Amino acid sequence: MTARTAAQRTGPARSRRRPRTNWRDPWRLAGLLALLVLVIFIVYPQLWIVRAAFTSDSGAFTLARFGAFVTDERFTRPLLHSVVVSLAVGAGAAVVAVPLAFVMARYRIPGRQGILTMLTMATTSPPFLGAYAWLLLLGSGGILTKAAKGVGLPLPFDSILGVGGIIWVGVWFTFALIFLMVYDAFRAVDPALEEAAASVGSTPWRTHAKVTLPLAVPAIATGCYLAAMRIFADFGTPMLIGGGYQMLPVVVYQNFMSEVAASPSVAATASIMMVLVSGLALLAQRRIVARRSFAVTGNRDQPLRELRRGPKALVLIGIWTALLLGFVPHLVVLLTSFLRWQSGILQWEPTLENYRRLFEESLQPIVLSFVLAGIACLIALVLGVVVAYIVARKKFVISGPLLNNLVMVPYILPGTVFAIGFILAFNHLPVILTGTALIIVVAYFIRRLPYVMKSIETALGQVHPSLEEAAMSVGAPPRRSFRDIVVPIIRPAVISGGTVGFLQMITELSATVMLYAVPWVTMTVVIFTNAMQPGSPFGVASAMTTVLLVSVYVPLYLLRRRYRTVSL
Amino acid sequence: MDISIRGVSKTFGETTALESVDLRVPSGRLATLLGASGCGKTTLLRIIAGFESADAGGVHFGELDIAKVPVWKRRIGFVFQSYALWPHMTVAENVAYGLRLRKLPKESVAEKVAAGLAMVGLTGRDQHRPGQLSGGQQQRVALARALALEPDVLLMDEPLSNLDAKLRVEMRREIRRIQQETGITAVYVTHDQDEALEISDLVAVMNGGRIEQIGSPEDVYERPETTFVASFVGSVTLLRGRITDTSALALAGGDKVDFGRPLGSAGADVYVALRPEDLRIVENGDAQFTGKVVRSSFQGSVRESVAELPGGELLAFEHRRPLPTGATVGLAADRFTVIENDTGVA
Amino acid sequence: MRYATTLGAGLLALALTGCSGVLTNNATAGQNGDNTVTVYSVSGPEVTDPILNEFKAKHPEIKVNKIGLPGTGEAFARVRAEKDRPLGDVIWGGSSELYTANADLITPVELPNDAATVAKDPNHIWHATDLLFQAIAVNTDKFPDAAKHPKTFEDLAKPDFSGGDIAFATPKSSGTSYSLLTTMVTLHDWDYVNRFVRNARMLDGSTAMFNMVKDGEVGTSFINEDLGAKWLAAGVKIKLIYPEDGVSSQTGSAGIIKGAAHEAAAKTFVDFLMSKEAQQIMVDQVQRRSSRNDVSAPKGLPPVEQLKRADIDEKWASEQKDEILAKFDDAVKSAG
Repeated sequence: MTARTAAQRTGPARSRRRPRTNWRDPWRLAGLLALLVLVIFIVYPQLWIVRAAFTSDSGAFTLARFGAFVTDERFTRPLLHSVVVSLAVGAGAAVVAVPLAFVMARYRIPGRQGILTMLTMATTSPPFLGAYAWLLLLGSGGILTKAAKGVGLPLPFDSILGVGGIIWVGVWFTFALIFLMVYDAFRAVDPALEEAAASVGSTPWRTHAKVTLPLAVPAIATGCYLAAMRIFADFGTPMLIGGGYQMLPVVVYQNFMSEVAASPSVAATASIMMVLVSGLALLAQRRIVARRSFAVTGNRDQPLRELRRGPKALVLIGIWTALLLGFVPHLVVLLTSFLRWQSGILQWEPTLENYRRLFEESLQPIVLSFVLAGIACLIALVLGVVVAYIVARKKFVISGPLLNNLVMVPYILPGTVFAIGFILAFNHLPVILTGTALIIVVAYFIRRLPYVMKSIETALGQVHPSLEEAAMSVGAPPRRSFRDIVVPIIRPAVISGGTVGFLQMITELSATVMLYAVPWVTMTVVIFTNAMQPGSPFGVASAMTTVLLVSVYVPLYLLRRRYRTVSL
Repeated sequence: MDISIRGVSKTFGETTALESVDLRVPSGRLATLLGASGCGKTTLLRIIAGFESADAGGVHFGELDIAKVPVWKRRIGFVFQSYALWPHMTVAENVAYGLRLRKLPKESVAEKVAAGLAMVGLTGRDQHRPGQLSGGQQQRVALARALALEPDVLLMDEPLSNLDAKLRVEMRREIRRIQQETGITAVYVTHDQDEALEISDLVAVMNGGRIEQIGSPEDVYERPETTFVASFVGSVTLLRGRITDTSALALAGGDKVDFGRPLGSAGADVYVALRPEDLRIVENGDAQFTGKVVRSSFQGSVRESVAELPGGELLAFEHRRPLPTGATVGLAADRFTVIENDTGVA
Repeated sequence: MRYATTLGAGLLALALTGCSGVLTNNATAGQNGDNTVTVYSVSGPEVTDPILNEFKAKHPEIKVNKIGLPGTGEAFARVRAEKDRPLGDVIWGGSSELYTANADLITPVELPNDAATVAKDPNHIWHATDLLFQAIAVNTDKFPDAAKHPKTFEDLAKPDFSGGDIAFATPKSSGTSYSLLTTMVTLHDWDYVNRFVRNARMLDGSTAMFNMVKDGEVGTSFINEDLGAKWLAAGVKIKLIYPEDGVSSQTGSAGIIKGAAHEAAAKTFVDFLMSKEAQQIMVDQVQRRSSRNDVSAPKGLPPVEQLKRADIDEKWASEQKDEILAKFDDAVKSAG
């Protein structure tokens, strides 16, 4: 039967007209505009990287540099290190985040709103000083290390310095990211699915293992991917506490920025290797997400269940411990901002001197940071929604995958490298941006677009297409159904994605430092210039960091309170 | 408003979803697209709705070719398998959304919403969120929403498949009642033959992207035109054989059965479809078939047993009194259908 | 939603004013002539601010825009990227070799105060602003036995060196380390380097090299003497040892960026850096050695005469750089 129809089918099918590109679809135009923006601000500036990687020292075309990556230990080792550390961080952060997210999503936990708000806050680590804080606590001469030695407590390590330290810092730096994604997914699982499993005799834990967890897999995969990539692209952490442990971003950075023997072509090659590796990771993530894209179509709210006393206490201890560890950098910075520093050395004397010196200078950086990150965030949201919608919903043959891949490129480019590309591209006609504040805005939104876009894409994955079709069927044109149905449903995700994006923008340092010009001095630049040399006045940097964190956390708190009803 | 579908075809990449499908649903009637998953029934419904476009052929609502009419102007109501209620709106807002788009005055919107919710028996639930309702209630809201605009056509895509068995029966009667009250032309997709037989004016049985038979529920059940239709709708025994003279059939197993009525032209290979309820136990002399009972099951009002004919064919029949396994029974067919069209079995 | 809209509108309004600000800023930048000078500085405010304050007092007509950059490598990378349309006027900080290596980005000028400095660039690319020596640093908590503390470079390469790992930044990325490496080769030979790297722990940059000895992660390291002296004063448990077989040093420099929009102001600025007033501040407040003969060593640092400066062939060090680095790489590889 099947064979017969198959045979009959082949003839007429060929002559049938192919579905034609519908240029009247407004998403087409939006997609093309988005593509244009990405090409101008991602492809064009970074083209020179590609060029350098394929150019030999004499200027001829070569592939030899890539050969070195497979054969030369100076590259293979950092490559391996980077992959291992990224995987370890992704896995470690998931191990911390997933159980906590599950419990928070299902059980009545006292202080849940506060915890959720703090978790959102924990996605932002104090720029630059984060890893340093851990060193201050758990380094060889660290406060806790010394204290432990003092009371004769054996520590499993002499110092946090090294690969273990990178992973440790990475886990606490990223677990909140995974938590937020997975939490939303757990909340969205239709209870009917779990009830169905229970009704066929599945025990609660079996149900969770066989039904709930698999439904959250796309969110877990996306969260792990983002966490792993954040470490994969981070050069600050390994530089600060790697203790010489070689990772790829460090290789890239050193070869670009070395005082002694900068070798942009090697750096470019390493960058392309990073793009390739992260491309593979993206592919894996997308596979996992695509395979189960509409599994979660909850229409009924998850009821919150009561926990017995014992387990509840345990859960609370777990959550607050994780939060505490996530906030170690913040707390250390806060504490040290009220202590005297001398030539970069912490003195245990309380003082307000750091703040006095900070406020002696102008407060303009605070306002400026908000304005620049605010504008960039709005642009990223608009662009993020467009790209995410096209990627998640439209089957555009060319622009869909192109957008999806392009948008992720900045995620894995080290900020400094990214910035150099910007200067090379935008310091001459046709587009001059250098020396203006605009270049920072563009750098912000392009660099943080991947996160914003991914979080919106995840949210869209949970809006079943039939919701939009239902609107169309009662007379809403696509634009209208998008506005009335899709936007309100994904609004909590857009807001939380936008918020985290904003936090990441306002704390952006590595690209800003290469791009800023007076008078466009941001808060992070102030932090950085007061902490860039070993003898610098770290106290002022700590004070500025505290001001920065407080000034982003207050609006964040208000925003969360405002949208509490929606996101829960 | 009648719906006519002419020569509609659709492929997705390499797979053919629909192959030159024709169907006409007269005004005010409910037609069911019945078939197993993957047969193309949902695709056809989505083409009628305008969610998909046909590669070839056309759909007319009355005289109007709707190929160029986008979904939101087609005046349809659509009920989704997943309900597709908007979780951020209350029940009333869900129903009112389309009315508000039409910029109807507030009072008239409220009136219509109240009437719609009353029709589906959900008065008083208007301020609930969809998440607070049971599945059956959600689907009622979806129905009220689909009908609020008084559309020309009501399209339903397996609307009951997410509900439990008892509720399914209740809801399908509800749907039929509402469809008849409103007199709307409706197309209903299902894989459940009981549902199709109970609520339809017209059943279109689909298989492999084609419609195999269109007819009233009685037609489809009693006079299946293909082996697929016969086997998909209700339980059936298909006996394969060759017509030896006009009323006798030589079975593949070697037996020869005289049906006592003309079967067709001699020498033709055909199937004879026998429903269990059309067979009755008779005295040996009157028996058209004689076989051994191989299994027997009690089903409440009747028993259904299977007899093995000497040639190995298995024949299902209904009876009242218990029969021991291994007993020899003689059976006669009151009714049967000769099918020449072999389209496989479901 | 209204909240968000208001927020959005507010931000947009700010953006517009911001953008118009940008435009006017850019437009006026060129016309303002010599009223401003943009300085790319690779030192922290603890180094730059005292001197900048003095400059402001002396030259109130010139506004200084200081752009702090993470290191000399980054500063030159930025200048190179901006080559076609320079946005900075002066690079300040980092040793003279880096200026020589990036000579194509610098305008050679002869400044009045050049003559007064001890180190002079015959090509007038760099202008000496300070002198920097490296000492061996020992963390006295981690490595308490004073009798075993190294006194020479030679001691650091001994197979039985008992101070644990010696932190050493890879000379490929750190100018300080490169200078130390050329000093090692000059004072000893490549065999010495082979032995030294067996005792060393390779790090990514000089900052890590300094910090690790401060934090007690290693017992021995190298350190810029001014930082070491400041840390000693701040209570860090380290000891500075100037190697008796020779001390590595650099000339801290500044240069005027080629094509600078404010060349006259840039000249005034760089010349000021070498002036006696500025150098006195460099010594008194920054605690760095002056590049001038007529300003004595800062408090806490030994006078230059007491140190045996290693005499490096700078031409060799800059021209044979690739070869020197490759040999070092080989040494590291063979050390495992």
